[in-house]
Amino acid sequence: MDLFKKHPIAVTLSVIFHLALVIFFVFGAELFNEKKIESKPTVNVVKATVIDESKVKAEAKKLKELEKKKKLQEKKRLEDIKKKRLAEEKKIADLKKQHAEQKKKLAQQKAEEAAKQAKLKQQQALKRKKEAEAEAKKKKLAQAKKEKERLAKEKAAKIKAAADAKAAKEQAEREQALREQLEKEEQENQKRLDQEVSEYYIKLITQKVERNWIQPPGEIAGLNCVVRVRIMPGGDVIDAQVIQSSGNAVFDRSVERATRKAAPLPLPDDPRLASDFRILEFVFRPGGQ
Amino acid sequence: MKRTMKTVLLLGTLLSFSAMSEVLRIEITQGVSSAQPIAIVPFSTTQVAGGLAVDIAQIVSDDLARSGRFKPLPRTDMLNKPTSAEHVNFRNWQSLGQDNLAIGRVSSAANGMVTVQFQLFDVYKGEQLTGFSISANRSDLRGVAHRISDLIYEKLTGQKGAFSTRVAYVTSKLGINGQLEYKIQVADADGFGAKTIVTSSEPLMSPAWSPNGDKISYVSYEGRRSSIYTQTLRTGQREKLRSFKGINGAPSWSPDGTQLALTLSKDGSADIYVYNVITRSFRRLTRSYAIDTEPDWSPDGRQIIFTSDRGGKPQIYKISANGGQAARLTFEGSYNARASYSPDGKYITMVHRVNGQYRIATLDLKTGFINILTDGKLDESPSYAPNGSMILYSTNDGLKSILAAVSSDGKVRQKLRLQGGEVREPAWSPFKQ
Amino acid sequence: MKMYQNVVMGLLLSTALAGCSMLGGDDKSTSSEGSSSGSVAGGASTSGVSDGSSFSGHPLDNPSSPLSTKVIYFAFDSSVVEAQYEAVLAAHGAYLAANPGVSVIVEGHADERGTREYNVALSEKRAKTVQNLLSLQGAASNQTEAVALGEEKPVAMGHDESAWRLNRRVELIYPAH
Repeated sequence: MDLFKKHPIAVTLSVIFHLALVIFFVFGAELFNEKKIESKPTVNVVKATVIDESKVKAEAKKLKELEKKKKLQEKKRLEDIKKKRLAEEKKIADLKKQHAEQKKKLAQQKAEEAAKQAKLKQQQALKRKKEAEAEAKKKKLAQAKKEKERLAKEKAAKIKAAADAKAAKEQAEREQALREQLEKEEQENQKRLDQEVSEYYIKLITQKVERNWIQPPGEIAGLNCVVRVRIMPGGDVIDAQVIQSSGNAVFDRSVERATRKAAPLPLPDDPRLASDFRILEFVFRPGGQ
Repeated sequence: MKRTMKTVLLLGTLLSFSAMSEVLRIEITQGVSSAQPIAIVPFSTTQVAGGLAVDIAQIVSDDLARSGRFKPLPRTDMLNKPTSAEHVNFRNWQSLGQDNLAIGRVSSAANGMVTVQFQLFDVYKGEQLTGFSISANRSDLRGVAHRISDLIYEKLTGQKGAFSTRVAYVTSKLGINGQLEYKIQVADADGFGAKTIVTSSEPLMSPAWSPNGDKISYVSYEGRRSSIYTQTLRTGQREKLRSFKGINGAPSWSPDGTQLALTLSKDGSADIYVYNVITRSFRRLTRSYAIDTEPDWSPDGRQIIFTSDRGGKPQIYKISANGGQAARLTFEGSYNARASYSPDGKYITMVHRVNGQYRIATLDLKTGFINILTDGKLDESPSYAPNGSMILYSTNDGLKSILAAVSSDGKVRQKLRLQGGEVREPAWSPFKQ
Repeated sequence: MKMYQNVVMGLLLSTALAGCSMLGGDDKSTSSEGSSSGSVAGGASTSGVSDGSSFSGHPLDNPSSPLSTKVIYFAFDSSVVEAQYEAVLAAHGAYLAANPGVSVIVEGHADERGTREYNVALSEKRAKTVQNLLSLQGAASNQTEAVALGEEKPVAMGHDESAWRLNRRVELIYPAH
């Protein structure tokens, strides 16, 4: 309605034309089409006389040609109609076209107007859009930036995370390695400590047995006797047995006695170590090697 | 069945192997040289009519203590006094730190005899080591005790005991007439049961046992000159060796009992001669212008060691019993004399002067090491026990001369209880034959 | 005083000896010298002064004679006769030489230190040294016999030098006279 207000003439004309066109079209076809094309086949009843074939044929041919002519005339007529129609149509078309062009023009105008408007609007809109876009873009940019940043951050974070993870992993690995090493050192230390403790107790036991061994008189250097002793957790001797005799009964008896007299033998408190001392073999070898 | 056994065996071997690889081995290279603690419980005499005058366990205790190798537990320390195996509680004796335990019983037997039973236990093992039943006359109980000492000693040291042996020695005491009276006496190795075999108003010296213990040779100054006699103990009969001008002294029997080494100075200075007991002939062994005296035979009868001052001061020399060159044995100290071989021939014991003090020492013939065993000022006349474990010698207790015993490693010393005045020149008999 | 005692002793002894001249053996020392007394014209009584040899006992017992010393002492571990005893041994040697029928046992001793048989031999060395010195002075070999007692007959029982030095000796033992 705005359009009417703005261009009343144009609009009215346009409406009339349109109406004309409609009428034209609805009835126009009937106007121009006074004859209906009947596409009924023409049946020529041929008397069945014996006719010379060539005549028949010529007749037929004539007929055919006549038909053909007729057909051609018809065709022509049709074609004329068609042509006319086409011309009409063309006219219409031209009219249409004109109309259309006008319309188009109008429309174009309108459109231009609208376009202008639109353009304006568009411009505005564009502007706005642009602005909005810009804004949006900005926003988007910002967002993108943000996003980028975020992504970057994310990436960075990811990288960092990865790096951290790596570092953490390395750290963890290092720590693990360190832990393992510490553990190993601890184990070694423990082992060394254990060994020291064991050696200490071996020394104590050796001294106690030596204190309790009254050497038999005579030549004993070079004699060698091994006594196997089974010990209870408290250090008491369960039994002592000569497992390798020196060949001298008095010597053997003296060393066996020494191991029994030395009970209770001093044992380490740590049951882990004490278990090594369950069975001891004393090698009595006076004079050393 | 076989299969299971095989598996069991295999497992067992494997286990034992694994056990072997885990067994801790401890080397013991030295002990202590102290005396073995032993408890000798008083023997029961309740089964003997009239009791016993002899305390067998005490004699055994004293014997073992004197050897230096044992430390008998004082009776007052005994917690209980079992006399038969079923009453023995080994824990008691372990708590007292006793390595060994001896218990015994005496009972009457037919014909006035007695039966002495004893058992020796290893306290820590809780086992009997040996046990014997000995029948004897009541008058011979000291001898039985000494036999028990020998059996215990042998079982616990692996060496033959010398407790059934005797000792001969010289005593001098002022007689009623104010003159010194000299005697040679023979007593048990612990000093008991001394019997005089000869008395004289003139000095007697150097008693020397024949190898089978039936005779003693000695130096007598009866007639104011020295001469050598050989007396048969059982009969008291004696034979005077042909004596010469000058010194007739220091008799020493060869291990085979056929010869006597001795000192004669008939040809100038004191020299060693060898007298053949069977042929009664003398053979000169050393020829020197110095003093050669105090001969002693090696256990294998091949060597004779003696004192000689041919080098200026008295030192010990060795010469073949068949004669030849003498070789010097002692190089430490300026006075070494009166040497005698240990029964195993590895050592000699002698008088060794150090810082003006005369002491008993042993010389290791292989290493040359001299071990001074005593610490007196005037120790002399060392004589080995026939098992080589102890040395008897003469010493002075500040008042008079007495006999003392020292273990051959010098660790234990004991004084011998002997009655009489001055006691000196001990000679330890051979093993009882 | 001494002279008087000597005179009296001399008189008594001469009387005794006159009776004992068949016993006593070879003692020729019937001392009669230095005992003359008499009255000299003029009434003064004189007495002769006697010298040491007026001892009318056995010369070996004459305290003023070196012969009375019958023990010679020795230093530790030594058989050397010290100078102080040379005169003594000379006297004994001479005495023996002058009295061929007299024999003496030269008995050697040692102190207790050291081993007994070695000390016998050591004491023999001492005795033989003395024996040699005596024969140097003229004693015949069959007049002296060296006997070695070692440490077996000490005269002093202590265990120090004061006793030992008394035991390191050679005794000249003459038969009873």
